[in-house]
Amino acid sequence: MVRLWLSGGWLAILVLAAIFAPWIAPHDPLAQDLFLERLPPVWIDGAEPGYYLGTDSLGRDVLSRMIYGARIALIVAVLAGGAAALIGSTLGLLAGFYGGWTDRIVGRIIDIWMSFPPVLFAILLVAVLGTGLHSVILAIAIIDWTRFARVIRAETMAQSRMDYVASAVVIGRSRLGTLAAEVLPNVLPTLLVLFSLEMGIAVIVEAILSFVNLSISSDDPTWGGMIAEGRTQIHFAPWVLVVPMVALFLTVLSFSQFGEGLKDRIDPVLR
Amino acid sequence: MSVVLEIDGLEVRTRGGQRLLRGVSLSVETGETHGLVGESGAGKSMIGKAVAGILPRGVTVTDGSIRLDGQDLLALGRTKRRRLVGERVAIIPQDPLTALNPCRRIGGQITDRLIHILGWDAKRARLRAAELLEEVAIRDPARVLNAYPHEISGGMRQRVLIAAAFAAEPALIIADEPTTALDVTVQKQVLRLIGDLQARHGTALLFVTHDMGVVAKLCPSLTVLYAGHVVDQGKAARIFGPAPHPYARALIAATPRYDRPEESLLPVPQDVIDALDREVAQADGAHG
Repeated sequence: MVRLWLSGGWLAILVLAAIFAPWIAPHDPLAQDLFLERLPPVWIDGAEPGYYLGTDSLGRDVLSRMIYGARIALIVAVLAGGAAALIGSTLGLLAGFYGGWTDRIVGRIIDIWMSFPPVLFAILLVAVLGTGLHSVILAIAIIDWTRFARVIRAETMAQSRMDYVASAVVIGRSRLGTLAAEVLPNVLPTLLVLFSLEMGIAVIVEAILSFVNLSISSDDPTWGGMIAEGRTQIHFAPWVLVVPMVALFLTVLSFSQFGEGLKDRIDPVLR
Repeated sequence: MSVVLEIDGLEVRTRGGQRLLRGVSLSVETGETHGLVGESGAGKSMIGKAVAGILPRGVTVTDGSIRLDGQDLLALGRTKRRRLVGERVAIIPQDPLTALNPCRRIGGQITDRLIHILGWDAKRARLRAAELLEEVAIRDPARVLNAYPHEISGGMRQRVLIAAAFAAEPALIIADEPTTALDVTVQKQVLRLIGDLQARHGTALLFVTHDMGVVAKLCPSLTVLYAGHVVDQGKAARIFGPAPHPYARALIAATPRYDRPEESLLPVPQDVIDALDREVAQADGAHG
């Protein structure tokens, strides 16, 4: 219960920050001012009023960049997570329910997919697709659908062996109808947890791609890009590195905890 | 009296060629209760599954025929067979935990058959479902209809399943060890309930169990199976009579008895098993 509220609270803050970024950000995230470079955050001596989390080596406001960065992080989380969930769980449901050849083909594809190291695969894909937000999203979906396919397939298999599925067949429900009406609602809690986890993973992968400068243009504020910049300044301005890392950590943790908490709430057996 | 179910020389094999049923023949008449007994793995449940068309993956009927209301099920197309079985056959499954979908309310799971098979509208089906629940002695039907399976007890769930099985007035009900997952005090109630409903609705009942005590009470005729092979078949009065088949006697001796504990729960003697194995091997040989 507590974790649901805590994680939900942090995610709500992020969502609000992302939506209202132009109104709440104190400064333009792209505005450079070399007179104001490497200002410390407000709790350290020498801070300038109005720059709550300090500035980076080009004098850009860290808080404003964080707020705009949340936009990109959330867009990637929802779209990439959603696309991976859609592809992965569709294939997983079909493989687990129909078995036989369907299962064998999907199983082999998953095996092949999983033998690629995911981060290198992502870098390769973005290099091929070209940088930009849409190719980052596409790359994450293409790589991470196996996460859904594997788990949903196993869960579907277990559910399909239940007597209520046999009963549905006996009373003459169609195969696809049985899958949709009897099996799907029972794998939904698992799917939701996975989706939540995947959103966290998508945020990390986006940060990694930004870190190696393969996400969107390096001017645009992304958390990964900020970490990359902060790395070079770690001895002079550690906050530039620490602030996005903390945000990243909290966000990924919140996504996974939110999923778990939600599962407890919606699963009728656990409720 | 007419024959509802007639199975003739039914053979079921796994994909690997292992025989699960070796030429089983039996028939069940309208309103009759036929017991199907044997140890676990004897193939009792396979018969019911073959009739309902829900054999596990990789297991198929390789020989024989199954006639329901005189129609050969194995000769029918998939859709026709599904429709006929759906209308005429219902199953009371073994485990009430897995037989109800945990994500759906009880009401919908009972009315499914009425809406799908009989084509009733939802409102009428719901009224009938409430009646059915009353018939299986559930005191508060309105509450149970709206409950999820985990909110009611195991005995109640089994009664819900019985109500669902009788809902569309099937000609044949296959009860697959309906009391095994229940504790002894509830078992008796559930058995009486099945017997009562069956008598009232005139349904034929194929009762699968390993419990000879239950068979003696419920089934006038029975089939004894060993390794998918029919060991003995006929009136219960003869099989439970003075000179039963050695295997039937061994099964009776294996049932718990509280009055004579030292004479109950005995394992099946090795010489009986050897004789059965010879019989099965002989039948296999004769069959090819």
